[in-house]
Amino acid sequence: MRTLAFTTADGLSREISLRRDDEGDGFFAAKLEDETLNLELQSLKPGVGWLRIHGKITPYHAIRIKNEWRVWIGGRIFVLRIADRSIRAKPSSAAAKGTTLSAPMPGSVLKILVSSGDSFDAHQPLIILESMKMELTLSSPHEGTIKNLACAVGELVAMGQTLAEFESGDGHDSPA
Amino acid sequence: MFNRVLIANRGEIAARIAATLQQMGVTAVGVYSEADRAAYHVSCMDEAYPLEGKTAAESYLRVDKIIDIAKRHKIEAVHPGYGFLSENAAFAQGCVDAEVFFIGPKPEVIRKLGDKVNARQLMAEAGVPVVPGWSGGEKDDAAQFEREAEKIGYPVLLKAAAGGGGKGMRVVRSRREMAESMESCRREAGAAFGNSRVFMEKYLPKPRHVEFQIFGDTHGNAVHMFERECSIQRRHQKIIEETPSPALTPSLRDRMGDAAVKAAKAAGYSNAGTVEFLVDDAGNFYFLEVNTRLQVEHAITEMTLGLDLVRLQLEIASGQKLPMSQEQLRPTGHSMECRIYAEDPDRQFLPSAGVVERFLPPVGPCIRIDAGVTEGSAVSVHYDPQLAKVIVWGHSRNESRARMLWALQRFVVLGLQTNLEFLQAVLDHPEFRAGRLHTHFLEVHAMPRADRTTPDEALIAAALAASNGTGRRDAGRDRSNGGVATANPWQSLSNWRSA
Repeated sequence: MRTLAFTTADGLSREISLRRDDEGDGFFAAKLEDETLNLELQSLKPGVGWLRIHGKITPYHAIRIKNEWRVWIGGRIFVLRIADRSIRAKPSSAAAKGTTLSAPMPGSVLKILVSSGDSFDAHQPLIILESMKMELTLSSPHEGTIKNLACAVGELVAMGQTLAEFESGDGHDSPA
Repeated sequence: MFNRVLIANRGEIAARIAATLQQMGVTAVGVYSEADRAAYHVSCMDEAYPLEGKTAAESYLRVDKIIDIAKRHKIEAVHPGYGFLSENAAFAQGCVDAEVFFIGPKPEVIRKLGDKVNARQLMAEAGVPVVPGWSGGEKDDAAQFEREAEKIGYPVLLKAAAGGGGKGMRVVRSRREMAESMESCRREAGAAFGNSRVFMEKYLPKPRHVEFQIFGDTHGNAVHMFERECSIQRRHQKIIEETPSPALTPSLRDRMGDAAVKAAKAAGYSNAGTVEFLVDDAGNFYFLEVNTRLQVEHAITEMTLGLDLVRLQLEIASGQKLPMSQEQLRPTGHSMECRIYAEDPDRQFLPSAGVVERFLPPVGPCIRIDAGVTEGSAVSVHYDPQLAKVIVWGHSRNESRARMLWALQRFVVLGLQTNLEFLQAVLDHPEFRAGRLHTHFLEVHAMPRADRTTPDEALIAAALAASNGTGRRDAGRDRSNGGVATANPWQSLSNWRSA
């Protein structure tokens, strides 16, 4: 029996194996860590169906986006990252974390208020992004110096794209 | 009545207007930008014509392009929806000049009320109370605004004179913030409305936003259609609206309704509009602005009055008289609306773009869904990230609140971040239950974070979905051709057992 491993949104590693029961179509035994649950699971197409555990019905919808499963249950969405034991998460150094300003939303660069080499104060507006007719001013919670500007006015940027690199006077906490 | 009406808009409102037109036997003609080639609203139309250009400014805001399409395709009337050109007097005038009916008030009325500064003056003269503020001078320089703000007292609210819908608004808490806020406010106002003039009002602590639906005809009649409370806002944009307001006593309702009709008559108003007020704890009310268009939240008024406001707009625009008197308008029960946005409530409600991979709106008694997307729709960075509106009706506020909660808990949207879970938390908040609402509600009250523990059911569902199967022995068999196996997803699951 193959075991699937997921990492949940709260950072826990969870393992599950699902085995078909002899009782008939849709009957399963699910092994979660030390617990085994007997359940009925009816699904008419992949990613849509309902579970019945001790009589309690739970409808679900699940889709996969990249290496994540997003599962809708009872009006809430749970993100389950497919754990791949062969790839270890890159250790993030505190220094590397604090030296880039990245786009918190997709959009276009409306204004760049600093130049390369400029030093800035904490909370000083650095870059203004525009998305869906809304403006968002980006600043750093700490003072610092701009090392490199990685975007240009009018450029369309993706969420998480690096907009600027800087040396932080404080050395921690990424800008928000 | 018209035979061919152009809808100069996109998203849920374009789809909603098309529905009424088609139900009336009127041909619904749509337009779409380059970014909207595959948009849901286009599929709702009887005919549609492209507007070149991706951004709003290059497409839905282009008066010349839209009027050109209207002329070329024998359009008799244009419905502007909300946002975009709906409150643009030049567009309304352009329609009139092209001998196309504009479904809304007269261009001069839009101009008069669309300038928020003029509207304030007009209402003050008509005896309607207004919020203390400053209308701006000859030239809008920051130093002058700083001086006036000292007189009014910080914090103050900067607003776009041509604004609406929360765009181009900034709270200024101290003198230090004035210059940068003004520049940013001007830029946003310029981009959204093509007019960068700003004015200033005192920022009231904990006001309620209560607005009155008004309707006038071209024969001098005007009525109000009662209130909508829209106090639950984020980024100055409403996300939950309800009618009746839990705050209005019958006598306050009468006084505000009278003021709304007075405002409509003072402006010579025809067609649908909304008079917005702020209401304080003591039951004082202040005029805010008149929105010279159909509102996003018009559907809750439709629910309690049993009316189709778009149909009424068409009848009025074609010259008919208002079919009812004030006395004949009797609202029944309570209605509530939630706006579903693609946004991340955990990150200051930042818009979230992407593909709507799964979209299953709830179905049930007294539930209405006005959607602007469907499964597979892409939500781009070019436009407002509104996905849908959920509208419910109940005999009482508590009944419609419970019904709304039920509906939100069953609304499936997967593929991008939405505010669905956040809205559930707001509806369940004790202060919301008690009806103690104000426009800073979401800044003041932190919503309790739901328990993030992943239930076993989620893991089980993911495990089965990950096997790419349904777990059924007969899955993949096409029963219509004698049970010949096609692709059998079960095989992938059975591999688990042998491994």
